[in-house]
Amino acid sequence: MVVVSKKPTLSRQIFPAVALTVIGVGFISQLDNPGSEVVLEGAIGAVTPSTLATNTTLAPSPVISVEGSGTCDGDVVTGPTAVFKWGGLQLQATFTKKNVLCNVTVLNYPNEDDKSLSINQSALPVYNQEATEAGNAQIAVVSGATDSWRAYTAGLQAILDAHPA
Amino acid sequence: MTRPTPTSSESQVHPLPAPQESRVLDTDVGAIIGALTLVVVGLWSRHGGVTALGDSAAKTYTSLAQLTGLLCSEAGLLGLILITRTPLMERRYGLDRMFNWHRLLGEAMAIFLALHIAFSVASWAIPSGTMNAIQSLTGKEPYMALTSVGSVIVLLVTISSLKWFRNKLSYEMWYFVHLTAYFGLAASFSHQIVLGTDFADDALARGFWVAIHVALVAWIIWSRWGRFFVALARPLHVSAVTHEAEGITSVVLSGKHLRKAKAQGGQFYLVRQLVKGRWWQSNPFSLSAQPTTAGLRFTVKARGESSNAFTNIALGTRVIVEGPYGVCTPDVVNSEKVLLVGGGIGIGPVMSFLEQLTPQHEPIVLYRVSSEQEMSQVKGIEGLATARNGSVQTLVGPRATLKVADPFSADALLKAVPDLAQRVVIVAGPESMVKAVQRGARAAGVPVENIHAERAWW
Repeated sequence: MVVVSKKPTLSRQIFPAVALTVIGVGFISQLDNPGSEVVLEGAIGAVTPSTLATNTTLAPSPVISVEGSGTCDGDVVTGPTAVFKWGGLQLQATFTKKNVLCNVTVLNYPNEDDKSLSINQSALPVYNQEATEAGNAQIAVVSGATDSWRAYTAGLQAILDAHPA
Repeated sequence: MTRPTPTSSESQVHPLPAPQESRVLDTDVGAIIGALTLVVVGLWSRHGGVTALGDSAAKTYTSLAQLTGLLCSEAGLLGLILITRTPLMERRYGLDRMFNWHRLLGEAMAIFLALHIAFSVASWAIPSGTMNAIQSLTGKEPYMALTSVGSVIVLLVTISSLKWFRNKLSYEMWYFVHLTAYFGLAASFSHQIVLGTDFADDALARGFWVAIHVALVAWIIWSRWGRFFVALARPLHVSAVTHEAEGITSVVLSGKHLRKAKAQGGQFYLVRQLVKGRWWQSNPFSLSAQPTTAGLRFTVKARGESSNAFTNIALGTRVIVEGPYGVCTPDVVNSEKVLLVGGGIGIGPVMSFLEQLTPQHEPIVLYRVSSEQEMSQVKGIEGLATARNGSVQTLVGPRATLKVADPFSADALLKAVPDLAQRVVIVAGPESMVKAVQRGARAAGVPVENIHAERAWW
């Protein structure tokens, strides 16, 4: 009846923790790192020639009239190319005379493979719409298109920074 | 009482052997929790969670929503592992501690859920306004309507389990509310995969997340239904019913399958009657005698709809048991002397424990009941104690009528048991009494590791 438990050895105590930690770290290192880096290349205003001649054009965001600000006939600013994990994304923004953002056009976006193409073709028009409505780069992410969202908001923010209202 | 004549092999009654010890260590449990936390936080950080923190308000809130959502899921996963009642953990920690941890994890999950919802709404409100954010998050976005229903259920389940509410609900009512938590958790899983940035965009992370959830669901189905069917294949029957005192009945369950069973005094089983309308309910009952091949004896008090049904059970009723559970067995005692404290129906486990002790333990039994009518089996207990060189002291009466404010203070205990500090203390009974005894014994100089408590399971 009397059971005297053998005291577990130190290695028996440590082994599971070490093994699981190694597996955990190994797993994390294999995860997709969404190119936390978005590097902005090129100067504001300069149109970076598309690296891909076959770029499928996207519809620009609808030109909405901004109350009391007049029509979309102000400055047109071409942003830098936001280079991220999947390629480069370049935006062009149009402002009203009163310097309110009123239209965004995507000049270039990653489309080298079908996946990038389909993700961006569905997400970028949404971002255009959201950005135009918000008038700034504080837009919600579309699920499945986080990387593009990072590049998009970085690129748009660069334009807004260079073109203060 | 008619029973088939036992064959020669069955006629030899012998005590059941002790269940195997678990080889799981505290460090193993810590390693699993640590590794899961590492992976969850690593996932978040690798997907840009940390870098987003210092960024714009929207990104900071999004990142915090992700982290709290992941931690909410982790608490849920760990809480669900506990309800599989896996023998690996049960044999070491006991079901009552596992239930307690399950409750704590449930509360942690609810807190993370509330934070997750708050951060999500805040991050969506920045571009589109609070009302739009709430609309998007409760219906417009894919699967969010389902997820919202799930969150409400999970919060309701948590609230119904808070002590204050729990005491106001019948066990049956609470149990049904609690069951809906499965639906709540399942309902919210979809949005993690479809909307959760950590999984929607990363196939490896998604694969891992789906895999651990599938494995857990399979484990729960096995633990709930698998063990039910195993028990169903080994039914027992009621072979004796004895009325002990007002509302207190002893029931003996017998069957040929006991020959291969393992159990010890102090343990308990989840017991189900195979009777129309009752088979789906199980009650935890403590053994009130040393379990033998001849039968498992439980002493049951009528105090709820389904335990009432047990005190009136008919001879021959088919019953299935799942277990045994509980770690407060005679294994916790070596050659030390023993003090057993039983309160109310807690005298049941004390008796089964006592029966497995030997004269070297010189067991002293303190039996606390609030009324004469509830005293049961005093003769039997005295017989068992005297045969083992021990004695029994009873303390009867409602609390208010007692001479001392706390009958389990260190002074009172030392007066009753002068050599208390040299004894191992085993206590079973209502929670308030268990706490009082633990406090008193510690104050009287009993080391913490020598005090063992088991909840009184009916």
